[in-house]
Amino acid sequence: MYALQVEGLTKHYPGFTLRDVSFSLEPGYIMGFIGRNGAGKTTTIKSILNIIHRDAGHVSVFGQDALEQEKAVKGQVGLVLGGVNYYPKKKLKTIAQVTSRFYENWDREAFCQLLEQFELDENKTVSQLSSGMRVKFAIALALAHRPKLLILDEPTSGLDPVSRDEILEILQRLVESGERSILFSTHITSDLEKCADYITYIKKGEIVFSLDRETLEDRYWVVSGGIDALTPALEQTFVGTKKNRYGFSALVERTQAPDGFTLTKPTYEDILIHLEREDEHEFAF
Amino acid sequence: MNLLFKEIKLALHPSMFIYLALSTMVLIPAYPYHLIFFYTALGIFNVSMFGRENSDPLYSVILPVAKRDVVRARIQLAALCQLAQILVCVLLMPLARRINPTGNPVGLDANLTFLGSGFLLYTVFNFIFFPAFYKTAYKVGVPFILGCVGIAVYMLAEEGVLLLFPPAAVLDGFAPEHLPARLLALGIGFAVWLLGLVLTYKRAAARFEKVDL
Repeated sequence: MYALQVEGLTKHYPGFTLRDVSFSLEPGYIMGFIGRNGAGKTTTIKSILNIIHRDAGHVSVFGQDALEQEKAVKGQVGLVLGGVNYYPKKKLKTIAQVTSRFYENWDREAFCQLLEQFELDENKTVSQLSSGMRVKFAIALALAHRPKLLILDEPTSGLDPVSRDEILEILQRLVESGERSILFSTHITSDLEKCADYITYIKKGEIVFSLDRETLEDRYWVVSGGIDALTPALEQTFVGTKKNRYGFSALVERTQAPDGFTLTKPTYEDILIHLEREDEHEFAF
Repeated sequence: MNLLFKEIKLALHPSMFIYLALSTMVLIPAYPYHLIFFYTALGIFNVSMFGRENSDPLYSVILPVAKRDVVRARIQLAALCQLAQILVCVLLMPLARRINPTGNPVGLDANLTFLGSGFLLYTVFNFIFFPAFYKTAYKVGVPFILGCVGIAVYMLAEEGVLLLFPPAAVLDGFAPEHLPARLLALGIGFAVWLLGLVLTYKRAAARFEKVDL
């Protein structure tokens, strides 16, 4: 049984369409959900939990339909949509008190430990927190009821490197038992190098791939060389070629790797940048 | 019940308590008492606007509840406030009668018919305001204006019936022989209000389901 299964998720907006988004996540794994700003990551996440009304598609969480069993599904999910931005003038303890009533398995002790670890003072109001601290508070709220599926939308943006590392460690510990799963959207791809088991890449509202990290890492090389050696025929086999006066770099599928050039293992950022660059227009200044 | 607790703990704006205190206006000897119920509507508008400014709809739908439960809790909160407003009126009515034994010259006396009429006025406001607000869960001004227009039309219609339909006069005043008629007016008003709450919820929840937050 999948922890999360998304099939044919579709949402039309004027000027943007989330089209036929499908992917699945098994228990015990972390999936990184990547794409540039406006690619449809947040729309997908919100559609999964009926926060956005989908036009078509089917979502199930541990076998339960997310629409028909909305309440039960949400009870198993911890959702972080950036930082806490609601009720800014209320104290953290008031928001926690209200939120805790909705979860049977709310773990007050674990919640207090998280607050301590994140150096959050319960007597402060949300408006007194920095944006990074608001994200930490949202994560503490989402983890306190021990969700089986954690869905995080840009949880590390706005956090300092130490806090980011701290949160990534917590996430890795969470999936260790093999029962919990995490869907983690971000454009800080270096975070995923540390913890993701699967990468799902969305571009302009459509899923380009959803692969395990080994398959993805074995798929591409970054090829680079002098600009004179770049022939049009060669460029045809490359993805998202970046050129300057002296040289070029591009992504190339390993099966099509040319001889005589420097080949290096791409980071997720390299893959994202080159794939996004593929059909971009050059700006003339 | 958890959502209703959330409504009271987080969403209820303190101005509602001031509006509840305005039930004391039944003590004014000559006053269109229906305006008391308008203040409850104003309080509901404040709660909705305060909730919107605090991103209450987004917070609520993240919680483990069905989307339509969010609408039900808000309507339950409104219903509680409306009942509380009526209850304060009830508590003050004996004193109002002593202060003003000759009756109210500018509309219904503060009697059982007045309470039944209050329930009908609330029904009109709820049925217009909530479905219009939950069409977006954001735009609150126009739904409130439309609700106020509904209240005004209802008040005019009621005054028209009392003026143009002489048998309806039995509903005004405190004559003991007309108590059954006034009790009937209260019963009808209360029953319509309850039914109206259910219909309002169904209409508003169906609209909120389609809202993208």
